[in-house]
Amino acid sequence: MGRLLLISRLAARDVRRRPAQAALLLVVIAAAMAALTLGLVLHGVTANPYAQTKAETAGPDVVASSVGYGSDQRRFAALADTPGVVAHGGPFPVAWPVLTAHGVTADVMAEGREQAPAAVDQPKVLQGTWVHSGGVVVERAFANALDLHVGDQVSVDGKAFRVDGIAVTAAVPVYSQVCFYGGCSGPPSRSLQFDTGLIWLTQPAARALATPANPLTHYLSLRLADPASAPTFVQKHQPPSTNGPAALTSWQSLSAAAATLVSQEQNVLSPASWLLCLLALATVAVVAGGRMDEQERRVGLLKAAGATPSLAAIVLLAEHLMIAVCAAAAGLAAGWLAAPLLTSPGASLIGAPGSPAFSVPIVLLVVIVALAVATASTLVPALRAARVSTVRLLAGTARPPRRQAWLIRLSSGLPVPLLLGLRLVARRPRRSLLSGASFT
Amino acid sequence: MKVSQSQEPVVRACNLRRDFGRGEGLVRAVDGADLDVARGETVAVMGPSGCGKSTLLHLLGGLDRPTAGEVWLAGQRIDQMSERALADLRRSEVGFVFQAFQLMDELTVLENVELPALLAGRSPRSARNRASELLERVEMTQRSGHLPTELSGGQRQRVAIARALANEPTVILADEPTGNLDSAATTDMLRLFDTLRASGLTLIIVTHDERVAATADRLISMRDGAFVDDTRLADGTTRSLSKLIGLED
Repeated sequence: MGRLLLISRLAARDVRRRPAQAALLLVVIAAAMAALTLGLVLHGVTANPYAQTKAETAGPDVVASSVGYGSDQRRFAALADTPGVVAHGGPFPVAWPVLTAHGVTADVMAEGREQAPAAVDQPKVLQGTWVHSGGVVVERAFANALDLHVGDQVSVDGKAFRVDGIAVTAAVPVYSQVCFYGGCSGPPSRSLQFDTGLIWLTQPAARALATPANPLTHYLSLRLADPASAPTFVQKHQPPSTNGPAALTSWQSLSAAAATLVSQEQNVLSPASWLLCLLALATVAVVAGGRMDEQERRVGLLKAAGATPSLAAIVLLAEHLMIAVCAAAAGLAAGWLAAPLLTSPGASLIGAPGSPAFSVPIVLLVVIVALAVATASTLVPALRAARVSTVRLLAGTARPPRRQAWLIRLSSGLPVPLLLGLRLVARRPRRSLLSGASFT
Repeated sequence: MKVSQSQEPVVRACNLRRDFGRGEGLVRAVDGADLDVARGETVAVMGPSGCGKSTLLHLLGGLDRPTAGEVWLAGQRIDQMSERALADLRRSEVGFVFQAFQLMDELTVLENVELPALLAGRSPRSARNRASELLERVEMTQRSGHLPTELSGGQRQRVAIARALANEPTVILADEPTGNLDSAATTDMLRLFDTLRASGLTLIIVTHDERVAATADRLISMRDGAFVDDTRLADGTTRSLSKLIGLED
C-alpha cells in the first residue's frame, strides 16, 4: 500500500512538474487510440441496425422492381405465387416526381401505400404519423439531408403536400443510395441538387403523379420460407439482363449496401489507426527516452534510498502508464464522438445506427493497446536507467564517449554544426532511428 | 536506532580496491583500504580532493561495487550481493547524507522524509508519523509542507538527515554534509551530528571541514586512494572543538 502510494505520488508529481511533455504524450497516444476506436467501432456498424430495421419493419427477403421486367409484367406479378414465397407486400405503385422543399429540388421515389399496414415491408414511423391524404412520409436520412420536419410543407411535381411523418425501411437502400440496386426511373435530363430520396404517400396521390412521359413502376416485397436462401432465389428468378438495374434484390445485398456507407471510412481508418499506433510508439519512445536521461538523478536517489532496480523502473513506467490510461479514455471518447459523423448516412436505419456500438472488448482492446504502446516505448529506457550504477546516476556526470583515432581525424574536417548534429545522432542511434520512423 | 553493545564491527572493509578506466587511463581511486568501524563509533575521513574519500563511502554503503576486496555491512558481505538484496540492505541498514542534499524537488519536505519508509513497505500512516517525528527532531516541522527549492541549504541538509534516519538505520554515511553550507548552518549541522552520535548511531563522515572531523571518535586521512593515518581522537579534542563552536554551554 505504501509503495503504491509512493509510485502514484511520484508519477503524479512528475506529470505536474513537466506538463508540456505529459500533454504531448497524451495527445499523441490519444490520437492513435481515437483512430483505433473509430476503426473498431465502424467494423460492422451497419450490420446490427439493418437486422433490427428489417425485424421492426417486417422487412422483405427479396425486393422485385417491375423496371427490370420490361414488357413481361405478367412474370413480375407471378413472383408472389412462386414456390418458397410465404408472404408478400404490394405491388406498390411508384412515381418518380421532383420534390421541392426549402428552395432545393431533388428526385424522389414516391411510393404509394395503403393506410392499413402491409404484411411485408411496412416502414416504421419514427416521428409523426403514417400516410394520409394530402401528406407524405419522408425517409429519415433524406429528411435529415433536406432538413425536413413533421408539419413542413413540400411541393411534389408542383403539388403541395405536408410532411406527416418520418420513417425508415429495410426494403430500399438508405439515402443516398436509393437507386443502388433497383434503379430509378424518371426523365433522365433533370438536373437536380440532391440525390434521389424516398417518400411514401397514398396510392391515389402516387398514381396522380404519373404522366405518359414519367410512368409508374411497381415494387413487390417478398418474404421467403428460408430467408437465408434469398440470394439463390434471386439468382434463379432474375429475368434476363437488359443492361438496366437488377429486377430482384436480396436482403443480404441491401444489408451490404448499408455497410458500404462506412466501408470506405473503415478501409482507411483501420490501417491508419495501426500506423498511428506505430507513430505513437515512436514518438513516446523518443519523448520517454529523453525524459529518462533527465530522470537519472531521480532514479539514483530512489536507489540510494533503498529502491530495487525493478521498483525504480516501475516508478518511471507508472507515469507513462498513467498517461496512457488517460489517453485511452480520451481516445475512446473522441472516437465515440467522431463515429456518428462518419456514419451519418446510416441514420436511415433504426436504433440510431450512426452511434457506434461500444462493447467491453473494444474498450479493453483500446486500453490494452495504449498501455502496450506506453510499455513498449518506456520499458527499455526505464530498465536501462534502473541498471546503471547508483553512484553514476547521482553524480550526473557526462559519460566519456569512446572514439577511434580515425573517427577523430575524419570529424575534425567537418563543419562544426554538422559535426555536433552527427555526434548527437551517433550517441543515440535507437532514438534517431525512431525519430526517423516517426517522420516517415 | 539499532544500537547494541556488540563488539563486532558494523562496517568492515578488507583490502578494498576500486579502479576506474583502463590501460594508461587507469585510476585507482581506492587502493587496498582496510577498515573496521565499531557500532556507535563516529569516523571522519579527510583528505585532498580526488583522494578517493567519496568512492570509499560509496563502496561501504553498497552504492558502488569494488574492483577487489571485501565489504561487510551489519554482518553481511555486500560486495557480491545481488542488486536487489543490496537494495533491501541499504534500505534497512544505511542512511545517506549527500553534499548536494539529493532531495526530490517535486516532493514536499514531509514526503521526502517519508520516502524511505514507504519504499520499505511501511503503511502510509506509519511512514507519515515517523516522518513527522523526525522533522520535529531536526526542527523542520514548520516547513514540512514546503518544497526543497523553497528552503535554505542548511534546512535542506536537515531534511536530508531526517530522511536518512527514516528507517532507523545502523549506519549513517555522510559525504561532505557541510560542503554546501555557510558557517551558521555548519554549526547547526554539527549540533545535529552530535545528537546522533550521542544516541549511539554509527557515523562515517567524509569531510574537508576540520570542525566536523574534530567531532569524531576517529579520524582517517587518505591520500591517493590509500589510508595514510588512522587516529583515535581523545575526548578532549572533541570537547574543546565543541566548546570552540559553541556546542557546549
